[in-house]
Amino acid sequence: MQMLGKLSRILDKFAVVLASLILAAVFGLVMSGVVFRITGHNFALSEELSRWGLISVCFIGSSAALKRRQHIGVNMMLQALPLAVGKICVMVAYVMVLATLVFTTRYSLKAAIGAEGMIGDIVPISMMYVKLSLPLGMAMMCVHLLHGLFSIPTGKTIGSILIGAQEEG
Amino acid sequence: MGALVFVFVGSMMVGIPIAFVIGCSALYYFLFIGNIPLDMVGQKLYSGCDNFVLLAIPFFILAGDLMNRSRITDSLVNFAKLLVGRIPGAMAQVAVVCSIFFAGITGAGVADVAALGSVLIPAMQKEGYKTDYAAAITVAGSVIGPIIPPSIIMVVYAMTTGESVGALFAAGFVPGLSVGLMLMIMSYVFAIRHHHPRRTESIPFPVAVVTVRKSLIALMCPVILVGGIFSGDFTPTEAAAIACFYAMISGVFLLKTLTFKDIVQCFARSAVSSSVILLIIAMAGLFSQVMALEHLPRTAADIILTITNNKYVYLLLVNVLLLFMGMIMETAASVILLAPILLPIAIQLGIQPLHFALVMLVNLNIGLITPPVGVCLFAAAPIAGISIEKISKAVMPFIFAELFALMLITYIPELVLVIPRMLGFVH
Repeated sequence: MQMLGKLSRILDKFAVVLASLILAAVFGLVMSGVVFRITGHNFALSEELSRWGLISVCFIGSSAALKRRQHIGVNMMLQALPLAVGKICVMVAYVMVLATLVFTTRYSLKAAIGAEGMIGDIVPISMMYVKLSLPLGMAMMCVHLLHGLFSIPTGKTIGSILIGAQEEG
Repeated sequence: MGALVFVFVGSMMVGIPIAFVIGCSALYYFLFIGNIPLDMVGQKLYSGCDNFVLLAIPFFILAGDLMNRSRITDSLVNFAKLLVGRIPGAMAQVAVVCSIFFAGITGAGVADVAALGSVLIPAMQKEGYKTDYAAAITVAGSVIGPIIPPSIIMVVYAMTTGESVGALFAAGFVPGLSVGLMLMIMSYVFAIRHHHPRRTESIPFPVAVVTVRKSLIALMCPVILVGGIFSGDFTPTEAAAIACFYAMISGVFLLKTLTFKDIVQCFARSAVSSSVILLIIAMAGLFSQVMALEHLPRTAADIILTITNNKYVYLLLVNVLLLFMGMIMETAASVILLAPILLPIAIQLGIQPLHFALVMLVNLNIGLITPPVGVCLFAAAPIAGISIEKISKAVMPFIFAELFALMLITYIPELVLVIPRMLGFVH
């Protein structure tokens, strides 16, 4: 349990650093694209690399968002339930999300491996490396969820064991 | 189909985050109803967010965060005081005007509440306003954030329906200002009834000049952003990146309030925050397959068209449905799931797509402040130090004012279309 908690924290830090670096790189790429265009040059790589960066930010950042309970959910009903019943509901929620993530991790990994021979339209890089961010992000989410699932019995309030934050817009 | 609805609603009720509710329901359909090969899951998730326009979302969040960190709120509040400080209920009017200014910077309602609430609510309390009223007007103003460009939800809508981001941004101005105007009228009524204070002394000219100069730094951000898009020089994504660049330069060199550490933290926060919306969009890529296989848009059209084929009745029905959805569902998820169903019917009934888009977006944004799960209420409660129930009660008159603005927008299409028409988006 302690090992899982430690792993979850390390992966969270790793995800935040990686997602921030990718976002900064994408920002640089988009700005470079603008500058190149204004100066009459062509920087065709910019758009494709930026899109790939966005996909990585999405799935790797999502794992950090899961750890920090930033994913949006409707928790109001759960908060009104008695603690024991609420815990069962939260447990069901964890198992359902975990099952979803196991499936999506498996099939996105399969898609990534299947894309080994493909390369980008402009950037000559194997699409496998681009698509690997999906299973990577989802696998990290699985670790955070497992840690959360095992923490449910010791949780003192429903708010402390929920997967998602209250609904956001 | 009933089982799918059960899984969707059931998973939402047990507290599963919306992105996973959508993913979980889609997977349930693939496995047990549609017998669809799961090999497509990876590809659908990837293609769901493989779109250059979506890059505008993290950049809008980043630009807003950088501006907030630059502590521009004070200068905007002072500028708003200069503009509307003499109207009865001055601080409430200031709160609405600040929300309009902030709407041009942040593009999300919660960001407005967090940034403005921490400054305005204590200031209003100091001037003798009741705390629940101060929180309510700040929360009500946050609805303007995602309506006046830039707007994250408009980018999501554009990606879902294929509408132009520029056209949506152009269409958002008048509806946003209409909502603001209604809130100002309501604040005026409250001020007269409850004798709220206003500024009686005039501000010296040199002080006014300094206030305007300081606020101009912040106000230039939306000008660059929107001007760049409307001029056709930049795509929305590029304009958003330029706004980030401007926010960094002005924060570091002009305002001297932004450090390198702040910028790094802004990148980290924006990457994580934007991934929440991006994951919903990616998961919706899976669910769109379910909608296509079940012919949901066509089935819904058949059902609705048997009830009415009058576009005004349809708009009324849509408004009722969306108000309900806004109360229980996240805005981006509502757009992604409902726009592909409702828009084709609107077009069939002769409603201008851009008009319909704004009716839908204004309506869903009112959901940000409607109980039981209006997120802006939850954001304001800890800032004001009062319960959500108290804010929910105090915000009711302002919700009615916003619903009145919504009705104007719904039944006077020209309010939405006038600027897009001027800019050539609508012929």
